[in-house]
Amino acid sequence: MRHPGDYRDEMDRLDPRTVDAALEGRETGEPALDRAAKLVADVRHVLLAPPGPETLARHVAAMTAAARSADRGYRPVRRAGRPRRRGLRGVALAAALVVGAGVAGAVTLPDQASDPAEEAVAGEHGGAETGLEPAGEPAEQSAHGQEVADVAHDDSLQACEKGQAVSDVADSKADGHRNDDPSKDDPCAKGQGGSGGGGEEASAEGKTTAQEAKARDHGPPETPGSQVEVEGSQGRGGSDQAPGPTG
Amino acid sequence: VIGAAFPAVLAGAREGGARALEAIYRDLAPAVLGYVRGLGAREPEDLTSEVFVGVVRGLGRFVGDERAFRSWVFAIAHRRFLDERRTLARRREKPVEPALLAGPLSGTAVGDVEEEAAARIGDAWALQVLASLTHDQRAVLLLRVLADLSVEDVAGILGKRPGAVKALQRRALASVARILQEQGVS
Repeated sequence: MRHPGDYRDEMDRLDPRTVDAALEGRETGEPALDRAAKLVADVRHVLLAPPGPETLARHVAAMTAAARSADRGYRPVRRAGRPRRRGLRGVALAAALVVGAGVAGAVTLPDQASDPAEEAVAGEHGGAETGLEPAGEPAEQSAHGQEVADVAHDDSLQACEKGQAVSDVADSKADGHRNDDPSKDDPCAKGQGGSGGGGEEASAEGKTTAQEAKARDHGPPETPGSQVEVEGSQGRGGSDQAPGPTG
Repeated sequence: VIGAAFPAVLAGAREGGARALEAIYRDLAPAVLGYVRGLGAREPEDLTSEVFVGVVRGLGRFVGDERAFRSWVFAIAHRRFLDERRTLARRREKPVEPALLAGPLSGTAVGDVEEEAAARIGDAWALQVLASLTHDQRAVLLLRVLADLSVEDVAGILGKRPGAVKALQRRALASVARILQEQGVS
């Protein structure tokens, strides 16, 4: 049996032009080479079948579309699709994370933890949606102070009358909370009709009035027991609303 | 071969002219399709389409005559085939053996069924012999006989020296001759 390497040695001795001739389908005078060249020609014949009309039309259409997209500066369809899909996936994932985290926080945060957040939000955006005092309150207080200041700087009033007027304006906000008659004790009237001993009496009455007023404004005197009771009730309320499992 | 009209066709193709693009396709598609088929591409027609779409997208960068253009197109085809082979390797799929493509390829209408069958067997056998070569030997033979490229052009496409390409084509022919001798073909 002939060793396969014999053919290799035989072919290695061939002139390159002979090999080129064989590949071009020309006779070379070497029987083995000519037979090999004949088979290569058959392969060429088999493989050089032109694409069918449908394939041709489809491929040329793809080429035309590629030429148009190249004119517009588009990137190849395959390569353009992937980053865009990745970008959309990224945006969707980020949105899902934000929404998920928000929902989880709203469900699991205790009331105590949410109160400071509500206060912070109320400070920024008003309390209309959080149930807190409206943001107009400070402005109203400022107008009230300006009103009191205006009366205090009014030069048309003097002495006791001026003081009374300032007091009236200053107390005007608390009118709805008072049950006593504001005209019952008129210090100006007492001063006008008073005598020498009337001063001490008026002073004593004034002290009493001041103590009553103080008691009205601050309520009953606090006791340690009541304070403990209040704190205890707050503590129980807090422990009942312990934070649930997160996530 | 387009010949003297090539510069005008190339200019028309660069402007996206359908006729110019079709002229390029008609001239080169059979050889490109045969080349990727002969190498054993899984989807030769799709691969051919990708090659020509790549050609259109790269027309703005191409500089040269028709011979250089032909070489450039086959370089794209070779790279596309290697891409497909890498993809198949990742999926652990085997490429199609060229011998299995003989049936659908031999579309020549022959009146006699016996002759047609013989022709198909002959085609299948020819492709089977081709499949027995190494990948480099096959690529060199196909680029030389299908694309009509010179040894230097083939060397440029395959990234080899011209001397290596000459050795590969000699050994390819020697292998074919040996197979024919062993099978008693005279």
